Amino acid sequence: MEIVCFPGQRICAANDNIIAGSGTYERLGYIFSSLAGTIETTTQEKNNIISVKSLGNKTVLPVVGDVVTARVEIVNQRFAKCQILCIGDVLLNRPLRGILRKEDVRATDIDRVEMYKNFRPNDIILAKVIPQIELHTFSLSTAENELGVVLATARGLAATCNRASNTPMVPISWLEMQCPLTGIKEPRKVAKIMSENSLVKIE
Amino acid sequence: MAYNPLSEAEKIFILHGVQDDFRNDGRTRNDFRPMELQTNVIASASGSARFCIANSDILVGIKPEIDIPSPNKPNEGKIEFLVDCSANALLDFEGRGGEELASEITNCLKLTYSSPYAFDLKSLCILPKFQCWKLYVDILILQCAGNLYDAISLAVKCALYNLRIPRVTSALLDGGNVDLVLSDDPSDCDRINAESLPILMTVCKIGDYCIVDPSIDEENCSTSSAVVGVSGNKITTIKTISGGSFHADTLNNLIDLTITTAKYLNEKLLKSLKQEERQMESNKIQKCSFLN
Amino acid sequence: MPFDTKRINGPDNTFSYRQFIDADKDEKNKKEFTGKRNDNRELLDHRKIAVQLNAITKAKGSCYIENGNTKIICGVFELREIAKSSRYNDKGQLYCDFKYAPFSRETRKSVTENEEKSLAMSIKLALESLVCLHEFPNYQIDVFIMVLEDDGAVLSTAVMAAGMAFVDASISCFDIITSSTIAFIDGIMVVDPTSEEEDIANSTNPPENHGTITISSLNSMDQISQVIFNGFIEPQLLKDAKKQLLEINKVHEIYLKKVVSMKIIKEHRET
Repeated sequence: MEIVCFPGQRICAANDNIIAGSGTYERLGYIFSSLAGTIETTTQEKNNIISVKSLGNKTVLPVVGDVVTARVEIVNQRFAKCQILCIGDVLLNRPLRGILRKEDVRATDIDRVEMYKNFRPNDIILAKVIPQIELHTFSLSTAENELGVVLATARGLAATCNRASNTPMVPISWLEMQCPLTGIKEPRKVAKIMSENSLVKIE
Repeated sequence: MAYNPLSEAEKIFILHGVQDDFRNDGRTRNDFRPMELQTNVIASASGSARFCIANSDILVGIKPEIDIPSPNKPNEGKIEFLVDCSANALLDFEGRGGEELASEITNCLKLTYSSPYAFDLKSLCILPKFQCWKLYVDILILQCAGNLYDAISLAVKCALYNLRIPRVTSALLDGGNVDLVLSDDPSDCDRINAESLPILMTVCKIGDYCIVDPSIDEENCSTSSAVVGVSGNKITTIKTISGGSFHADTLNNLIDLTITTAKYLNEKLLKSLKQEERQMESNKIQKCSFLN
Repeated sequence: MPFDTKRINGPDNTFSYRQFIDADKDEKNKKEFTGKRNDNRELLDHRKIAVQLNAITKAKGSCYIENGNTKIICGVFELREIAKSSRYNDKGQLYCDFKYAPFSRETRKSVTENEEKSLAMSIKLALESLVCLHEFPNYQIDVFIMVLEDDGAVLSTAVMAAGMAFVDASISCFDIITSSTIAFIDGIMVVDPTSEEEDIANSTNPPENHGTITISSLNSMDQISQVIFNGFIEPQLLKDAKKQLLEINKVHEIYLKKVVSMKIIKEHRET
């Protein structure tokens, strides 16, 4: 049974164990819906989170701690400029600007990071949003094992060969990826892809 | 409007002041700040006035010109308001910054002067379908200390009171051409009845109460505000001017507050206008400079 | 409409042929209000409204609304960076564009750009208390409203259209916004005036106590987000009108909720 609700509709009283989730707001001790959709409740260690899910594509901005999917656009020695394509599982229709600085690429040995050896333009990366420095540009970080390049194609030989140009490389270590057709190895900051279930546990 | 950072504590202080009917400058909720008016300040304009509410300083000049009535309103004159937010008043007005506010105020004035009961445009008609007066009301904001709407509407009212339109002694239609004869005597002129001219009043809602004549600080604290145009004991406009919302009952309070306050203000204004005029005639006022 | 000054644009001062219609006859036909309405409505009856969500596929959210003959289409688009803003805003902004189609009224292009801007500003202010702007710091949402046909009560219809477009776009809102208009003719309340009735209420020689009032409200909190009145009227009549308008808005809300729930149910069936 789904419960349909509208913006401004009072859902229930809020207390320590009942928390307003996404698509809702709290006012005068009650939880109200802010979207038109269906009510969903999730339980997390005794806490009930009330959220409203709308079937349309939500309008969201990334907040600190969100995992985003981005495409690398420009790489130079100090930073990589990216376009944020997805926030969590929400696909954006208009990409947002993101920037990944050299010191946020990995957690250890940050002095010896070389941007060119970690990212290439057109790579698809997973990154976490960190506090914003610049207006309209979200700062990103890949300083976790699970974050980094998830999808990349090789340059050079592979790129000249039409058929192969879209073949993604396969990760062979956390620092290298290899093209399955040509065998070319390229350096990348590779993300350790987790299955979705295990990701939930980490959060 | 103006960028004026206030800390949370300052905002709460102002809010408490409004609750206790004792605002941070000592006024009660329906008190105005001291006002100052002066008419006939610009020799080159047919009607002019300078009006200050505290530090909000407005200069208005009116020039009548002859125009052709619009075809769908053949027996009416025209009036046009033009507000100029100069960067001198507030740095935010620099460049195109003041444009939005200026057009807002212009529209509000236009609306409030649109009813024939508030301001009769027919008196500005010279020869129906052919000739009418067009009043250009140019408003200059010299300084801004909040409550621009009120200050401007009062200044416009003073300037219209001061306005002297040359008297047309004869208007003849000669084979499609209009022949106008203006009176030779410069003191022979028509005036406008200023009694029913509307005044605008900004009401800000702070906490649970409505206040009149908000200062810039108070404007920053208010959750919502509305401009109400009052002419006599009738209302000519209501317009919400900020993005906030208010409870349905607040609208009634707001109307009552403005009607009583505007009535009192209007009486006082007309009285001081007449007094000022008498003083000017007897040359009692010694002016040392234009702005003083 | 862009205006090319390099071309010969023909004479621009054309007149409406209507002014050559026998003026006396016209005066009698138009300027008098008999107490009965042309479309057989009671004075306090609202015209039927019809709403269609998702009318523009390219927009994030959109709404087409008909209120009698008044037809308005509205689209809400993606978040956009606020251009030329160097200061941090903890709230998002709305940008509202409001246009009349050139053929929307009896006379072509009878609305000046200034009036359109002022209406756009009013709609923007009404929407600012509707949308959860704190969720989009430093970004702006664009709303585009086009009046296809104007037969009175344009402002209130446009506010509702924009509100529904936001709901359709799944942008967080505090409430559902509803709006309606009352015209006063000689102190008589005329709910949801047609353009003809609006003309009488604001004509050159109106009866005393005339004007039009539009109130937009957020009903679940009993809040009024926007009031616009223009005319000349006794305060008590305005208070009565407010009560009446809030009642009408509640009826609108029921209909709008129905439209939204139909959409939700339909989408659920599809997935």
